[in-house]
Amino acid sequence: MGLLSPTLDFGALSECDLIIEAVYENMDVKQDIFGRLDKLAKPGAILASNTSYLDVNAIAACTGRPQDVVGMHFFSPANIMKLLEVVRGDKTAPDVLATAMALGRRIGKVPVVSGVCHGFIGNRMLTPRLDGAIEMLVEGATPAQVDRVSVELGMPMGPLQMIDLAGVDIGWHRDPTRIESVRDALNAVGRWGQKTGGGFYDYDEKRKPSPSAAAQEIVEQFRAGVGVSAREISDEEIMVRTLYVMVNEGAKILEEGIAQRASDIDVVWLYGYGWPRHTGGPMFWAGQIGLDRIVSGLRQYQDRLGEGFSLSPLLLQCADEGRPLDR
Amino acid sequence: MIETQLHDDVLVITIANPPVNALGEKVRASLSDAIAAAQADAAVRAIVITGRGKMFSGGADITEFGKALAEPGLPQLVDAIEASSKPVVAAINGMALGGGLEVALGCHCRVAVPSAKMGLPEVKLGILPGAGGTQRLPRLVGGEVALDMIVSGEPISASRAQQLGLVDALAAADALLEQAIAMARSVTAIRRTGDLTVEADGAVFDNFLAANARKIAKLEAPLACVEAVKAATELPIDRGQAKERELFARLLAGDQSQALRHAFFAERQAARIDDLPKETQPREIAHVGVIGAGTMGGGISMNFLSAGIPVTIVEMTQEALDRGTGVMRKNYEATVARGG
Repeated sequence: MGLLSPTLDFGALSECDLIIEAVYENMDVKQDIFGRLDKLAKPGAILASNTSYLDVNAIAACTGRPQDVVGMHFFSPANIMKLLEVVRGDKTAPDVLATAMALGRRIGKVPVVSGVCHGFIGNRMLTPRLDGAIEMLVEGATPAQVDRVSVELGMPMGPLQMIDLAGVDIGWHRDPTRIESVRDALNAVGRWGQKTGGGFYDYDEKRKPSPSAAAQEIVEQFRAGVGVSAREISDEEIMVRTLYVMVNEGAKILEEGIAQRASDIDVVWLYGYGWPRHTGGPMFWAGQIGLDRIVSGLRQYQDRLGEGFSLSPLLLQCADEGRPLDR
Repeated sequence: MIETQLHDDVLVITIANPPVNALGEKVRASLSDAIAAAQADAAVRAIVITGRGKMFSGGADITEFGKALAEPGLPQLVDAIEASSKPVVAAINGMALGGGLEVALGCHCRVAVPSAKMGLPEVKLGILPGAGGTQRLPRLVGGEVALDMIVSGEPISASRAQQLGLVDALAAADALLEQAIAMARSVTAIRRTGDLTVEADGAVFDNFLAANARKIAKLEAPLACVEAVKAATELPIDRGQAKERELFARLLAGDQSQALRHAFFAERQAARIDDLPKETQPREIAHVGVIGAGTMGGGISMNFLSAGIPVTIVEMTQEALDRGTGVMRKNYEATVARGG
């Protein structure tokens, strides 16, 4: 702690070789900060953003030195989780990228390079997983049923337990009268997850989850409101809509050159999200269970995967040719 | 790969295969030859095996993973060391991991520097120690401790190893060789690890499985490790080793060990940036600034502080700053209390 200098003086950053912005996720605020940093940081200083979704190029564009700007996305709790996504902007200089990677290792992290896209490697793949989990609640599954499929694979928790841990209210518009999703409905009554004692589950003082009648009622009300009738949902469908969709998104990440290689995606999930190591990571796991099985599962449930869903051409091609999924 | 030097009547064999003295094909072959030659050499009364540099040996050569191993295999080498008619002492000058520790277990006595660490981390790659480690370690330290070490894969310190009987003596780094040589000369009756017996109540294994069920129930390697250590308490060394080999082969071919080895190599590969110019030099980072003392900013700062890098942390209000540094202090105290 002796090495720490807490201050209210922004100008004190002028002597730093690396400045990491870690304020809340808002583009205007971040752009304002980078504009100010541009004026006071010493020449050659690296300007990093800990953004978890936002466009690093747009942040870099607010400075006169976009070559010195890089994303350094730490995972919460940042002093414990090993993953560091190093986000390479279009103009990030090679030595800046190399510095962020080397520094990551020096502080005991496992750094992985990601290109710029919404959510980078990890959170971009998380999105269809969480969306699928919540949609299946509306269609009739219970939280315990959805989460069990991931836990049985060896994950520390399922997608809904993860939302409860991170906060149901993350990204919420804060208007309790505006209810457009199950998350909105939970947030409207203060079910923000573990921190408020309940979200998709109820939690005791030790934060142990149990099925929640209150949450169930909220889901049922929402279901009635959108005119959906509950049906049986199979474990296979849960597998496709919470896990296979990640593989498909991962394949797109490869296709677009966001990740350098399939194994980098595995490292992101192993060290950032607790993916079970004995299955090697989502992309390796997909290869072990068979890409053709992934493709046929996605095809079977395609009409339930939402308007925006499309199969990755790379995934299709690799499955077709029977070759491993990689660039 | 190895160096040999006769100190009067004691042959000192030094594994010299930087950076980690891995036991690749050539090292195994030359060690095996040196042991064999020493048996026939009347000028050699005893043998000391040690490592050059900071490690005794890091174990198997990872570039040989997944390939058919060239002769001599590690199990044969360790057996040959143990079978030596002349006393063999391991002078453990640093880390002895995996196959490295198995070589030391095949020796008749062990002396280590206080900074040395010893462990069998194979389980982390989804396999088990396949060169007698699961059979010899329990014979020296008992079934229960061996289970802990082999199933966790975590190394232990030299002083703990001495308490457990895994090493016979500790020696300062500059006195290690001298002490190992003296120890080698003083052996009157060779004690081979494989000849020892280890008794353990079967309940030890049942209890271990019950206590660790949540962690290991679905994992093939830890379960196989338990089975192998149990065999050490029930079978003579040769049959125990046959059991170990059978389990090893089964694990090696299984999905889980393939996945775990993939994860190991994936992590190393991730450090590579494919299209970076070769001459790229990282910039020097001596002082880090962090904007925001919230949960993320505080957690990020702690990483740098723990690595000895000074951090300036900036907030908008004194209250937020105090709250943030307060949380960091609490986290530190929790870490210290946990002994980490």
